Amino acid sequence: MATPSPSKPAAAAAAPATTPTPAAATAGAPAPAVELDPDGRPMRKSMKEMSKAERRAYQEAQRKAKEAAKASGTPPPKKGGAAAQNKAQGDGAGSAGSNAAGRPSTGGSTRGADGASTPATPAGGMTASSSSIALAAAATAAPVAKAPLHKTLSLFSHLPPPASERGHIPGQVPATTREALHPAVVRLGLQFANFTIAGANARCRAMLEAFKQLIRDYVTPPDAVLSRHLTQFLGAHISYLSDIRPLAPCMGNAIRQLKHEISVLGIDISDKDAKQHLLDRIDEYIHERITMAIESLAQHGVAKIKDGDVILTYGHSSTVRHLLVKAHTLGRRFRVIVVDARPRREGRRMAQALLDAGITTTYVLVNALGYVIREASKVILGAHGLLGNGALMSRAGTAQVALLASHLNLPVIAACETYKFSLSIHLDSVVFNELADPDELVPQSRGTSADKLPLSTWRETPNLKVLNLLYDVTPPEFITVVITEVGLMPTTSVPVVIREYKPLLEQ
Amino acid sequence: MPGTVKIPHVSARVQVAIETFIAQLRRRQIYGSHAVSEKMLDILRMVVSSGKWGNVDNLMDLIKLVGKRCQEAQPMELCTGNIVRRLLSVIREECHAIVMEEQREQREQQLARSKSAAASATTTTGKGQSKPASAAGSRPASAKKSPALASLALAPIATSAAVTGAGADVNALAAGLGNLSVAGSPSSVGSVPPTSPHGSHLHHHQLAPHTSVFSLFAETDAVRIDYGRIKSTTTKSMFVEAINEMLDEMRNLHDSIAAQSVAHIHSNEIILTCGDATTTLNFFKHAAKKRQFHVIVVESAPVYSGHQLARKLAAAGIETTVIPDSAVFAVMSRVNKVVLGTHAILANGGLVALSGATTLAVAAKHYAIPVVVTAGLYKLTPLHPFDLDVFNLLGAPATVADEAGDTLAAGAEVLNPYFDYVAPELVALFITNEGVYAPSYMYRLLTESYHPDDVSLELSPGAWDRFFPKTAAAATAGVAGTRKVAPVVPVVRKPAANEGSDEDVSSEGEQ
Repeated sequence: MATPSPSKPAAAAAAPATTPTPAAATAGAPAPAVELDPDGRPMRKSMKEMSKAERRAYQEAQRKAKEAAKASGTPPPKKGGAAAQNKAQGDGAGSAGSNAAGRPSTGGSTRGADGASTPATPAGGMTASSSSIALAAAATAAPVAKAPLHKTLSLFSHLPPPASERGHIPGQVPATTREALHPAVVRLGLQFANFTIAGANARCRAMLEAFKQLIRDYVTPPDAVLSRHLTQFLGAHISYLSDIRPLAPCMGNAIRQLKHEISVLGIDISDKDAKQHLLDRIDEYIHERITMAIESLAQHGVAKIKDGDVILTYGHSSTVRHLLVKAHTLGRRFRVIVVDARPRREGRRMAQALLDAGITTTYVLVNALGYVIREASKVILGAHGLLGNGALMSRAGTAQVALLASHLNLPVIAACETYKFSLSIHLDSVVFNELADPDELVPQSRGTSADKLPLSTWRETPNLKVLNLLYDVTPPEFITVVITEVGLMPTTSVPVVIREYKPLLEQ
Repeated sequence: MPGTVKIPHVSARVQVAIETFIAQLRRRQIYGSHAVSEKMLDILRMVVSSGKWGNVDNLMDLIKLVGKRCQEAQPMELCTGNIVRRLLSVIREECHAIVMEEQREQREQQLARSKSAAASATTTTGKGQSKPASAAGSRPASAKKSPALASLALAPIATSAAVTGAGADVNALAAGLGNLSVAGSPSSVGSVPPTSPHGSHLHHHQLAPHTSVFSLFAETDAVRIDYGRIKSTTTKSMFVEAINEMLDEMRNLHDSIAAQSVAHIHSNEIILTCGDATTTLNFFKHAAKKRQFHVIVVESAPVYSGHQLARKLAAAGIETTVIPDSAVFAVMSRVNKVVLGTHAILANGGLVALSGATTLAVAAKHYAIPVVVTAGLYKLTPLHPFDLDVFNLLGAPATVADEAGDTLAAGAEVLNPYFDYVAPELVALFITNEGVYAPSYMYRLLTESYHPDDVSLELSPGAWDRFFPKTAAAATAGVAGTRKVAPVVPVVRKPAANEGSDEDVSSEGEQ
């Protein structure tokens, strides 16, 4: 019974523990009480059910428990062990935890257990893809025990901590919630968490495909109306995805559109027809706003590329890549400088794709920006989103490129489809951002001395923190023109375009 | 060793030391301005103290030869040239002082003779008369003790001599003027001419009014010094002492810069920095004793110097955060100050700094955040950035393209520059071991630190033939018919007759 693991999905099934309702949590209780299990450690609930304050309280309690355990001399259970426990239990989802409880719960068994654990047979009601998810879960790299979250720069403490610091494996869901979610979306969450699928267009497409799958498999429960229940059902998945990684503005727009479509479904339309209609609308959306948009954007953009141009671009944007390859295919003679940065190094993909298309490419890291930008004649940048004041939100480092380019009076072109436009305004890159795993920045090398890797023990070093920002906001004055599928426009036209699209979307 | 020039007038031991140093420079076994400068000073001290150079003219050419070879071994280590120029400037000052002393003594003798001839005709007071004698007596003693101080005291006389020139009938006027200034100098500190931080003398404009800046420089040439006349016997120990002073300055550099940190770092500031300069590290450590602040360090891939600095700062108890290079603009809005080190300071006040510094500086400029550069003055180089490619070094592309696989490295052009040029408009302040200056003042420091004749390290005409008489003869003799081995072609370019004074810093031939 008293297994030293702080996670209790199996226990929850075995002995129903009281879980405070979300309503109570959001009632604004000043100090949400964190329930403790018999060992004095905080009881673990699904992160989604906890409000932010509760989450913080939970982490504080976890840290105190760890310190108490350290003081009392008993070694605290390794997070890895707990996580392995989680995973094993998660895999045994269908069998309601009886398998999991039977598994040896040694704190010491960590990574080995992961590889050895076999996925349990999926419970009835889940599609065949769940086994692949279980496999995927097992194949995910073993989690490293992470220190509690007091190692963020106070400047960014208003932002949600990176998924890796939150004390649970990204993408990992307890069994109860897993049963409620469609496996395609669960798999998508894992792919987001591991950055297997990254980039606004790719994520949005993948999300919509997953939702299509969801709608296909959806069965309206009795006594429920499709249009209302589906929205709710979808909401659960959306919050799961946004918990793993914040949604891009384009994903938000797509979801809003989808919800709108669901809400205007006629009351007397059959479920089958309704679902088909929704699938068709999603397909239309993907086709018009993403695929064809990229195509016409490229058409407009090619007109801006002249022979002899030296184009500088940053990181990997599928839109920019498409534009450049198209221009090359149409016979324009130009060369490209790809600027890349740690830790994502997405520019490698870009450079490789351009080389494969036969374009002369130069590849540098962002520190060499001052050196190479003297050779460039124009700059083309991709977008994560375009904000209401015309500011460009894109991968961290884009703002520097735009800044230096405008410093040298080079034209800066932002290639952005209209579905990425957003009315929100962030005045700088600190107000709203995404923090990624800081350990990505710490170079890991096999067999090198600690002296060569001064940051390898950064977590234990007091006063030392590592910050890994994902996005930054380029002020609109650095951007000369925005290329969209409807043409070229200045940065000030963003709210105008959104307004123009509104009646079209509400047909 | 093939392709090397034998340095004349030095022993074999010194020769080997020089060749070792040059080889180390070329292979970058010794790098970093500070280490290279100290070693360079060591080498020069060896040359000066043990070389048989005879007179100062030879010495200056010898130093130039050594300096030119070291500079060409590693063109981007600009401090080798700076050290040589600084030493030459100090030598010139010493010689100037010696010549002035000689001239003054001559004038004293003449004055004594003319006075004894017409004792009743003088209008100066008895006090005025005794003063020159006593002052003259004290001055030679102090001259040997500290050359700088001696030249200080000589300053008023030198000015009058410069202004009026030699002339028997003007001697009385000169004596009168000399008396006036002499009466002033020992008594009041206020009349001591303002000196530059190096201890050199701005004495030229003390007495005579000048209508333009150009006449300031013209004064320097008014006194023609024949360096060939000044022998090593009188000056050797003086020069060695000067080099020792420079070495001391080098060793205490970091402390003198760090001592100024408290004035520039205030409480609760967020300071952005990059690179792993010792000056910046000591700057922060010193300030951390009295102030509470936070440092954000840019990691500077692919050298990751930021990681080293961050660990050292954290060990010193300073709150440190490491950010990737891509996050510079993102955090800049919350930063209060940017503190940088630099590799070299150019004549226009611009920097040759570590790659990535331009982005930092331009981003800081956008948010109107001051950029402060900490550097020793030995990094000040009398070269202008006419061609930015000259001031850069491309490193191995493998460090940039690693993890990318061979296909990327094979197909794409991969660049890995070490340095960056930062324009002087982007820098707010230079904190040096001699004080705090604006970039617009750096050109003035140049004229005080270096002599214009030394900007180009080319040997003076005729010096080459004096050093290597046999080579010149053999070159004209021709190879056919001789059983001798073909002459070793010197690597150092023989200066053409009408070559300009542009310093050739590019790596032609030597790299």
